Parts: sequence; structure tokens; C-alpha cells
Amino acid sequence: MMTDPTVPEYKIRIENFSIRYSDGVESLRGISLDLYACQINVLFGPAGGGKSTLLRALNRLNDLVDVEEQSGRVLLDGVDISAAGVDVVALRRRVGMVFARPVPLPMTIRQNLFYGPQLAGMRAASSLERLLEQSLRQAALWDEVKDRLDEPAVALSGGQQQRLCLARTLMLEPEVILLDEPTSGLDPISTAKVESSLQELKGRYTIAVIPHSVQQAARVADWAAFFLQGELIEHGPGTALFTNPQDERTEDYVTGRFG
Amino acid sequence: MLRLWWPNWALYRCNNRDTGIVEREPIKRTWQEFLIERIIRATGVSAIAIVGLIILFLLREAVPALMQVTPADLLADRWYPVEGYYGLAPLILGTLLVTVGAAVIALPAGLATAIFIAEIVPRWARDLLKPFVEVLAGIPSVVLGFIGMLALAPLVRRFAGAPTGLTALTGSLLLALMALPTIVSVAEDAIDAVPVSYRNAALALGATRWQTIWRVVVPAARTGILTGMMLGVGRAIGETMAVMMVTGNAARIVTGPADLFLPVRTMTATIAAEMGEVAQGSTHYHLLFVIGFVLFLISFIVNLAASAVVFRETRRSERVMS
Ligand SMILES: Nc1ncnc2c1ncn2[C@@H]1O[C@H](COP(=O)(O)OP(=O)(O)OP(=O)(O)O)[C@@H](O)[C@H]1O
Ligand SMILES: [Mg+2]
Repeated sequence: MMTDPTVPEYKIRIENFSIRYSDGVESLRGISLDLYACQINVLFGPAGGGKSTLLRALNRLNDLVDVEEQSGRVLLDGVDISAAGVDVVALRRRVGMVFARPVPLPMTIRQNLFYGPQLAGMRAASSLERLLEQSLRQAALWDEVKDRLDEPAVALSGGQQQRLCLARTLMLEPEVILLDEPTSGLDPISTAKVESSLQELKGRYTIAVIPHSVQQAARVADWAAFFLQGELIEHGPGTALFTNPQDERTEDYVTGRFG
Repeated sequence: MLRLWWPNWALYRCNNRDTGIVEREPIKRTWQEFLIERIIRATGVSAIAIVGLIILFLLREAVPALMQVTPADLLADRWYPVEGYYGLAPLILGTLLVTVGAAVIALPAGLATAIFIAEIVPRWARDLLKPFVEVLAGIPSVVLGFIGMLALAPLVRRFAGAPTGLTALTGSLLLALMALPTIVSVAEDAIDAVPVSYRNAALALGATRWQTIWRVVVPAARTGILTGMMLGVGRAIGETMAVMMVTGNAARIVTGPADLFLPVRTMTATIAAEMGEVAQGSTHYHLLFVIGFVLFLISFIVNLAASAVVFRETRRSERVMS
């Protein structure tokens, strides 16, 4: 694999990963997948395919829910993060996450942004402020909120809230950013803003995103992975996968014959 | 009152679009809705009316005392009505001491218990603990008073080194115990209703479980938590029986927190103990109504303050939502 010059360096390697929830359903079956650094990695497929489950395994948010059985490994920079005894808090600072519905915490915009770094022990006001401006600019939100940082975050529009959540994640300067249908509730203009932020961010971060439509998947994917009922059907470069899928089921889904 | 029962013609509609002829024929469900609306309105109006009548009654019985006793005498520090000492200060301070003591104990303990039940214990344990706590709210206060006299008072005497176990502290502890179930139950519901997405968001930012609870979940649930606290403290202010049984009932002037270890007498206990023996129509009799009115004012103010806080919170979030 290392010999193939077109395959970039991987940041996360998922090896033979399976998860079963306590209701007995196997939500992921034997997934092996690489997520590449400095690329937009897209996970897509019909509802219930296990995309969110996989994403939540990457920052151990699955710890909170009733996972009955889990096997396989998830390597971040070669270290297994799915094992017991991993420092979950430190991991979540390296692997940030943006959710489908924006979740502004019940505080001001500034407090929302400072929350993560302050938890991590960062106190110096000057570096917090510098980070705040940088993160808001990266999330394409700076111009809209720079004069109202001390208003409650819920006062922002839905699209602004979502970009605030992105900025809040960026405040921790993570290595990986996970986004679970980040634009599902947004209008086309906000969606375009978030997508273009992602294009800029991928230079520095590893991005894994679950798009909310096939069209969006095709638009943003550098690499795409198609999931169907807990299995990884196909994984490849975005252009190739969407124009010339190898698997019939991928083709059916991409061309809109089902899903 | 007739207006209250008059059909509201706006609820009727023109049912012939083609001819435009207005036939005032009621829509099928309208009569039911009409009735229900009126019943709800009448209930609301009578609730307000009853409160108004209570105030009027209290005032009518209290005012004669104010004619007979000067304000200076009312604020004096000796309550001994048989000898003509009508100072209410010891009773008011006694109530404040016992209630504030109860609040200081019950508010943190209640919040901690609510967090424990909602966030820490597994789901099945919550389903067991919650009804258990709520049953505590139903124990008659006389029974709790008994427990206070027999179990709590000796403990207080031993640990505080006081000459008697029947002290303000004993009353505070017992009232705290009575306020707890309400506080826990309401606050737990509020905490439990905080969307899981808040928790996920905080955790994904690298918050620990404890940081998530303290900085995100509790602030998000603060309206409900405050409501629970208000209801709990409200119960403590008005409680009579248990307090009468364990506070020793000495109408002494309270000078400071050290008096926690001495007997006191509350306003509620005074009314309950003396109302049965007082000569109807006497100054003493009317004074008991003055005490009742003061008690009413205090709990009214507590409720008003608390709901002002809650109301401001909701108003702000509503404005922000739109
Ligand atoms: N907390 C949970 N407890 C039990 N089962 C769950 C839980 N979360 C997800 N599942 C199950 O796991 C399967 C995969 O769910 P997941 O949310 O990962 O799918 P998804 O691909 O993200 O779907 P969608 O596109 O609808 O978001 C589903 O069958 C779902 O019912
Ligand atoms: Mg999902």
C-alpha cells in the first residue's frame, strides 16, 4: 500500500471493527478502513448503515450508550484508541466532533468558545482571544459575530450556531474533525459556507464527514466510503467512486435507484 | 358573570361558501370546546377569588389588633401575650432561623441528591430511588415530628452539647428532611430532561463527566431546579406540626446563628399552640391573625422572588428562541 503513490498517508486506521448494541443488532460488521490526513473523508450510505456509530467510535462517544460488544481496533497515529485505559478526555481534545443539530451550550458565544480550552487548562486571555479570532475566521463566522461575542449563543441563527459549533471544535486545535451531517438543518447558503470552510480546513486537519445527501457527498469527497447495513461496501477516491462505482449496490445508491 | 357564559360567536362559521349566506351553525366540536374553555376559565377565576378572600379574611381579623397595639409594641422583643407583651420579633426571627437553617441544609443536599439520581446511578437504580424519595414527601408531618423528638433530638443534644435536644437546629434538620423529597423530585426531572445532545457536545469538547454535569447540565436545568427549591422552601416555611414538636417553643429573641443550639418558637407553632386557648375577640386573638398575615406575606415574597427569577429566565430564552 505504501508503494502506491496515489494513496495518501493515513491518520486513522480502522481494523476489522465490529460493534453490537445491547438490543442485539450488529451495527458494524468487520469494518476495515483508512481515513487519510489532509483529506475530506466522506462516510455515506442509507439510514441505519452505522455511519454515526463508526464516527462516535473515533472519539469514544459510544462509551455513553449501551454497547454490548465491540471488537477490532481503531488506530490513531498507530495507537489503539478503542482499548480500555485510553485517556478519553485527551483523545476527545485531539478528535473533535460537530453534530447534526447545533448544540450551543447555555452560555454566551465567547464562553462557548472558551469552554473547551479552559477545560484543558488554558487560562491566558491573550492566547484565548487569538485562538477565538482564528477559529471564528476558519469557520467563516468572524465577521458575523465579532461585535456580539457576549450575547447568548442561542441568539444566533441555526446556520451561525452550526458554524459556532465548528469554531468551538477548532478552538481545541484538534488533529481530526468529525462531522455528523453538519448541514442537515441548514439552508443552501449556510451549507455552502460550511462546505467551503471544510475545504480550507483540510489543509491542516484530518476531516471525516457524514454528508446529508449523496450530492453533498459527491461535492466534498476526496475519499468516500459507502456503508450499507453495517458493512463497508466500497472505499475509494471520491471522483472514481461517484463516477465509476465498482459495486452494483454503490452504483444503485449513487445513481438514486434506492436510498 | 353572565358574559362568562355567553356563546362566543367567533367560534361559529359561515358554512355555505357558494351562496355566502351566513348560517350560524356551530361546528360540531365547538360546544365541547366552548364548555371546556368556560370550565377552565371559571376554575382559574375562582382560584384567584379564593386567594383574595383569604387575604380579606386575614386582614379583617388582623386589623383590630393593629388598633389596640402600637407598632413599637409589635416590634418589641418579648412575646408574652397573657401579660400584655405583644412583641412579634422573637417569633419572626425564630421562623427565619429555622427556615434559613433548613434551606442551607436542604438546598445543596437536594441538588446533590438530584444529580446523583439523574446522572450517577444506573437507570434501574433511578427507577427504584425516584419513587422511594417521592414517598417520603407523603409521610404525615406528625410522624416526622415523632421521629424528630425520639431520634433526632437526643442526637442533637449529644453532639451539640446543648442542655436540651429541642432546638432550632433540630427543627431545621427536620424541615430539611421534609423539603428534600420535593426538591429532589422536581430538580431530578429537570436534570433528566436536559437533552443528551448537550452532554455529547460537552464531552466531545473534552469535558469530564463531572465538568459536563456542573457546567452544562445543571445550568441548562436551572429553571426546574429553582422551581423545586422554591417549592421545598415554601413547604418548610409553612410547616407547623413537626416544628412545634421539636423546637422547644421558647419565644426567645434570636441574636445570631449560635441560637441554633437553643430552643426557639416559630410563627406557625405559636398560632397552632395558642389559637385553641385564646379568648375569641381578644387582642391576643387578633394578634394571632397578624402573625398569620405576616407568615402569608413572607411566603408570598419568597414565591414572588423565586418566580421572578424563573420568569426572567424563561422570558430571556423565549426571546432568544424566536
Ligand atoms: N444507542 C443505540 N442503542 C441501540 N442501537 C443503536 C444505538 N445507536 C444506533 N443504533 C442502531 O445502530 C444502527 C446504526 O445506527 P447509526 O446511527 O450508526 O446509523 P447511521 O448510518 O448514522 O444512520 P443515519 O443516516 O440515519 O444517521 C441502527 O440500526 C440503529 O438502530
Ligand atoms: Mg447518523
